[in-house]
Amino acid sequence: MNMFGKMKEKFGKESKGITILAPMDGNVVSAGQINDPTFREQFLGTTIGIQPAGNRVVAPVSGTISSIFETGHALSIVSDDGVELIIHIGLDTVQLKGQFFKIHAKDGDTIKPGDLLIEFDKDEIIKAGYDVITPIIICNSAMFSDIETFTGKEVQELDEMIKLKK
Amino acid sequence: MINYKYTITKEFGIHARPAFQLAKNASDFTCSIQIGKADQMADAKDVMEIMGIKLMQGDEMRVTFNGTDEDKAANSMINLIKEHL
Repeated sequence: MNMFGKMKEKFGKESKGITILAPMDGNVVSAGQINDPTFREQFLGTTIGIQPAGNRVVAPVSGTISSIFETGHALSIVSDDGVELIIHIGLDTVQLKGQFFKIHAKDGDTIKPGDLLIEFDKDEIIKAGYDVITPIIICNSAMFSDIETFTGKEVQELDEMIKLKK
Repeated sequence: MINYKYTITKEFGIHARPAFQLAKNASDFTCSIQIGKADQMADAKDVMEIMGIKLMQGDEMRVTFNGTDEDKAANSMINLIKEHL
C-alpha cells in the first residue's frame, strides 16, 4: 500500500461530506502499521493510527462523549453527524491503570472540535515499555458509502484526517 | 431465551479489547444478544454500547440470548467470556 497516498476505501454517491479532524499532533498511519491484530484487522470498522507527537487528545468533532475510561487510555465519541469513534491511546495501556493519563471530560459531555479531552505523558508511557500509537476506529463505518483516510502524513490537531459520506 | 450470569474475574474488566472481542463474536450470530448488569443492558454486537456499560472486576454481568441460533451463540459467547473476563 502506498503510505503516502490517500486511501479510498469505498466509492459511493455524491452527498454531504462529514470530516473527522485530527485529535492530536502526529503522523497518521494505516491500520496495517498498528502492531496489534485487534486494530490492524479493522474488524469493527475502518481504523487508522496516529503516532503521537504531542501529549494531548482534543475533540475531533462536534458531538458527545459516549464513554471515557477512568484510566484515561480510551474514549468513545458520537459525532453530531452520527459517526461513532473510538480513540485508544497506546497499545495495552489499560495496564497503566491511569498512570501518565489525565482525563478532562466525562461521559455525556457535549464537545466541540479542539476541546481538551485527555492529557498523557508520551515519554513516560514509552519508558514504561508501551507502544503509544493511537488507533482511531470508526465503529459504524458500514453506515457510510465513502470513507477517505489521509494516511502517511504529519498532522496537527484539527487538521483534516478522515472524510466520510453517508 | 437463554440467561447467563458471570462474575468478572479479570483485573481490568471489560475495557476496549474485550469489548471488541465480544462485539466481533456476537456479530457472527443472528439472535439478539444483550450484555450488561442489573438494569443496564447493551447490544452485544455494538462495541460502543458495551464500552458504555463499564463492567469491572467483581461485577456480576448478565448476558441474554434470544433467537433461533441462541444455543450456538450462548456456547460461543460463554467460552469467550470465561477465557477473557
